[in-house]
Amino acid sequence: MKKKIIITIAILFIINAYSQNMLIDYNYNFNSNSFKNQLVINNNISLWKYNNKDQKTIDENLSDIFIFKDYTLDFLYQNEELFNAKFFVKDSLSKFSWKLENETKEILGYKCNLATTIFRGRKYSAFYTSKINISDGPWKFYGLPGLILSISSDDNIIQYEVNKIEFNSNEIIDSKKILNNEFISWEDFRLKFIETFDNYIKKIKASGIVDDGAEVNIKIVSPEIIYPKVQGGDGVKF
Amino acid sequence: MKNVFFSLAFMLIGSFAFANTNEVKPATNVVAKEVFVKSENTKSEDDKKNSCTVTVHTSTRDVTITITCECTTGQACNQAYAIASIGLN
Repeated sequence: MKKKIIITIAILFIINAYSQNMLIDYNYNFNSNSFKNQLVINNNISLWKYNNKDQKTIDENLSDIFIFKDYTLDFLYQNEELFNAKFFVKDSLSKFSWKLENETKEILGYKCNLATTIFRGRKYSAFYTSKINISDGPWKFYGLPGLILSISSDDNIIQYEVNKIEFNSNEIIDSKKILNNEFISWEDFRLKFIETFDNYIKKIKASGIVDDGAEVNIKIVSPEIIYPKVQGGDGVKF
Repeated sequence: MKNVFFSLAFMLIGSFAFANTNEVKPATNVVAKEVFVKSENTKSEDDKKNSCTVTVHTSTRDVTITITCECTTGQACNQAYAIASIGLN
């Protein structure tokens, strides 16, 4: 009987030790704009969100980005938008192919190791620490043997840098609320993104607002290259 | 001794039970709103034209759209704004 009790307690201690509720603040730079984002980790799920507490929004009606990772079901849920078109996207968790490098760096007192990857058109360099044994990170990133504290794209369009780590946080992810939306697949989103942009160009041309002889150049910058014609080089010209 | 073990076990179970009392409310209802954040008016090589760039920042903050119009002098920014607005209406 005594053995059973000891085993039960040991199991409970192990479960408790592995149950992780963390709140990590990141500084996020995107295309020369700076934001403050947070990563909430509740065991096998995590939520990447805008930190409303530490900053004023550009407009009170602005919505929040969210990226919800469910490691149990192997799915990622997010909101996306282009112009006035809003999308809720369900994607399988991306299998990042990380290359572990020898370079190290200290961030917030943690020794971090460098790893690199290529994801949807951009090359990234990440610094992760194995001292925090959680395979997660900002935005969609995860899959390294430790928490990603810093990551940036080689073209410097995207940079995430940890600002504060709170262990044993009481922030709980309301997954039911997130999953209450109607999601489309990544492939459907990709097609809708292209369709939305093409329709936009058609509308401009049909509107007649552009003077004869005028040259218009439109370029979209977003983390993932979905429509290379619009997102690469100088964008679209007409 | 047995009682001590039981007490510890109940304390642990209790800590799990109270772990999920707070609630974070992620924004799932996306508001259809985007803002113009910047316009730059630069002189074009052509004396009769001006170049104006308008940047639209989406509310998810992960997308920026830059619209550059090299248009008739005095009209470049108006036209760039008008072009941007077409996407938002």
